[in-house]
Amino acid sequence: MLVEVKDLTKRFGKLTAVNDIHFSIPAGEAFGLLGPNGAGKTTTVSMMCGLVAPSSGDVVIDGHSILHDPMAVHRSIGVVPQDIALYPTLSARENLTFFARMQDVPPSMLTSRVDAVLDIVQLADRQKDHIETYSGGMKRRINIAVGLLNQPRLLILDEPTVGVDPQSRNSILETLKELNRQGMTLLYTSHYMEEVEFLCTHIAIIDHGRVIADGTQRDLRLQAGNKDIISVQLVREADGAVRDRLAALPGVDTVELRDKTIRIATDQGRSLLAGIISALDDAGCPVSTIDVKEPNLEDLFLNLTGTSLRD
Amino acid sequence: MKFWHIAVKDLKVRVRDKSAFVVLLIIPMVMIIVLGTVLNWAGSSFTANVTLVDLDHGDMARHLTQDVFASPQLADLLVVTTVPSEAEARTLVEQGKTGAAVIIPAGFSSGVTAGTKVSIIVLGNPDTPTQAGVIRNIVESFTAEVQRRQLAASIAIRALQQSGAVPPQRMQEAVQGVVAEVSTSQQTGTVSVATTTQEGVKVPRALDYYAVGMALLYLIFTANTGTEGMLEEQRQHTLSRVLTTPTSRAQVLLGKLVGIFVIAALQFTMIIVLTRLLYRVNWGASVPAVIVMAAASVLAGAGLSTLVTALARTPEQASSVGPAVALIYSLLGGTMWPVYNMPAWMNSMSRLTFTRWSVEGFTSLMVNGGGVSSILRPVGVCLAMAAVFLFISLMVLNRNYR
Repeated sequence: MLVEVKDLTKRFGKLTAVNDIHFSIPAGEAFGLLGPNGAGKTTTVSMMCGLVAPSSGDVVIDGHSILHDPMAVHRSIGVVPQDIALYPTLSARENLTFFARMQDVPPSMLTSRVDAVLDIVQLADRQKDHIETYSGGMKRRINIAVGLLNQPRLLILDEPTVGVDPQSRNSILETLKELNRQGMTLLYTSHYMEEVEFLCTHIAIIDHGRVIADGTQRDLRLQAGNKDIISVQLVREADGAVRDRLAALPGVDTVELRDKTIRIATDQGRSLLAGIISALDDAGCPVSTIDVKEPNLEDLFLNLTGTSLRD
Repeated sequence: MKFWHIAVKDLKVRVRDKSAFVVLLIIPMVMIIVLGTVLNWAGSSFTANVTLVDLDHGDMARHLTQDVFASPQLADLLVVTTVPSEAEARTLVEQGKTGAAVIIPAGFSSGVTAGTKVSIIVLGNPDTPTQAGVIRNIVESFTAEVQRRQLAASIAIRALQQSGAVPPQRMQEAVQGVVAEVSTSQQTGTVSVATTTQEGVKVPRALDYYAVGMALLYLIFTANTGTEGMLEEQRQHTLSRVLTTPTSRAQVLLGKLVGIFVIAALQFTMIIVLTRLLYRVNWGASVPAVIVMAAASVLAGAGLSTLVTALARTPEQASSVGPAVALIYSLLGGTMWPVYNMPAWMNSMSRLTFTRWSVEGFTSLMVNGGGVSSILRPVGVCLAMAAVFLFISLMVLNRNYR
C-alpha cells in the first residue's frame, strides 16, 4: 500500500473533528474522500501532510510515518490545498521556481520541471504575469501545478475546484485523470459527487469525522441497495401480457405498468436495453422514449445519513 | 540554503511594494531633521545643576569651589549655585531644584593639612541620577587628588628625616617648604581637567542623537512589517504550503529572519549614509564598530518583532500590537529623548530594552570615537536579547502546531 491511514483521530478541545479514521490507498489508484462541508476531510488531509498533529493514530506514506519522519513523507507527496496558496505579486514562474526549491527539486532540473508543469496546466504563455492578474480558473491551475513540481508519488488534492467555472473544472479533472492514467496516485477530496464519480476508482464517504462507507463505486452502489431503473414511454397503452413478457426477461426484478409508462427495476442496467426493446417490439408496443437511471453516491449518502451531500 | 531562497522571495515581495519605500526611508529621514531641529537641546550639551555649601571657608574649600567647580573647563558642564547652609541645600535637593548638593564641612581644610580624616558630603537628587553621578565624580576626583598629594608630602618629609640631609635644626623649615610646594601644586587646576574628560559626560548633538533614535524606531517598524508578512502568508496559506514540503519550521523562521535582517540592514545603512551626507551626522570614527552595532541592533529588532508575530493570532492583531511595542521600546529605550533625562525608575526600566543599549553604543561611538572593543557590552546585550526573542518565538510556533 502506498498510503495507510491508521486509526486517525483529531480533537480540538471538546470537538472531535476526525474520529478513528482508517483507510489505505494502493499505488496508482485515484482515491476519493467524499463528504459534505465540515465532515473532516480537510482536517484528515492536514494530518496526512503534517500540518496538524493527530491526537492519536498515524499516517504512513511510501513507508514513512508522518509522526516519525515527516520530511520523508513530504518528499513523496505533492499538495494542492483548497485555497489558492500562491504569492500574488510574484509571477507564475517565480512562484513555481520558489516552491520547486522548497520541494528539493535539483537545481539542474529546476527549469525543465517548471516548464513541464506549465505545459501540463497549459499556462506557459502567461508564465511571466503576476498571479494577481490571473482569473480564478488560471490561479487554480497554477495551484495544481505547484503540487506536481516534485513528480510526487501521491498527489493530495483538497477540493481543488472550489469556485471554478465549469470549463476550467472540466479541464482540471481531465488533467488529473490523465496524470492518474500515467501512474500518479491521487487522493481527491470533494463534496461534489460528480467529480469523485468521474475521477476516482475507490471512494470513502466521510461524515461527522467518521468514514461511513468505503469501496469501489460499484461496491458503494450495492451497499445502497438501490436498483437501476429503466423507464419506458410507449406510443400507446400496454396490457398485462406485455408486463409479464418483460418480467420474464433474465435480470429483471420488478415491472410496474401504468398507462403508457413501464418502470423496470434491475441490477443490470443498460445491458438489458436491447432485450427490453426487442420484447416490446415483438408484443407490438412501439417505444416512444427509454431512459436508464443508475443509483448514485448522492442516493447512498442520503440512505446512510438522511441528509444531502450539500446540506 | 532554503532559508536564503525564502529570504530572497520575501525581498522580491517587499521591493514590489511601492509604499514600503516611503515608510522605510523617506519618513525616517524627515523625522530626523524635524526632531533634530525642533528638539535641539540647549547648547547641544548636557548640564548639571550643583549647589555648594562652604562651611569651612579654608584654603582647600576655596580650592574646590573656585578652582574646580568654577573653573572655565567646567563652565559649559555645570550650573553652580552657592547657599549658606546645609539645610537650605537639602531643601533644594528634596524639591528637585538641583542635581546634587556638595557640602564642605567646617574644619575640612585644617583637617587635610593635619592629615586627619575629613569628608565632603554629596547629596544626590534621585530623580536626576546622571547629574548627581557627574558631580560625585568631580568631588571624588578632587579628594583622590588631595589624598595623592598628602601622601606625596608625607613621603617627602619622611625621606628628608631619614636621609639626614637636612640638619635637625633646619627640619621645621624644610617641612614647611614641602607643604608649601604641595600646596602650590594643588592650585594648578589639574583636578578639574581630569573630570571633564570622563566618559558619559559628553553627549552628541541633537541631530546626531535623533539620527540614532529614528534609525532604531524605524528599524522596529520595518522589522514589524517584515514579520507581519509571516502572518499574511498564514492568511494566504502559502506558509502552510511551504510546510508541506521538505522544509522545517526552523528553516522557515530563519529565512524570514534573514529577509527581515537584510531589509532592515539596508534601511539602517541608507539612513547612516544619507544622514552623514545630508545632515553631517557624526557616526563615529570606526566604520566596523558602526556596522557591528547596527547588525546587533537589527538582529534584536528582528527578534523582537518575530516574537510579537509569533504571539499574535492574526495580521490585524500584529499590526496593532507591533507599533505599540515599537513605541514603548522607543520611548523607554531613549530614542525620543536621552535616558539621562529620565526619572531613575524609567532609567532602570530602559535597561530591559535593546534600544537603550543600541543608543548607548551608538552615542558612545559618536562622542568617544572608540572601536569595536568599546561597544562590546551593548553589542553583547543586544545579541543576547535577540537570542532570547528568537528562542521564545520558535517555542511558540512549535506549540501552535500542536
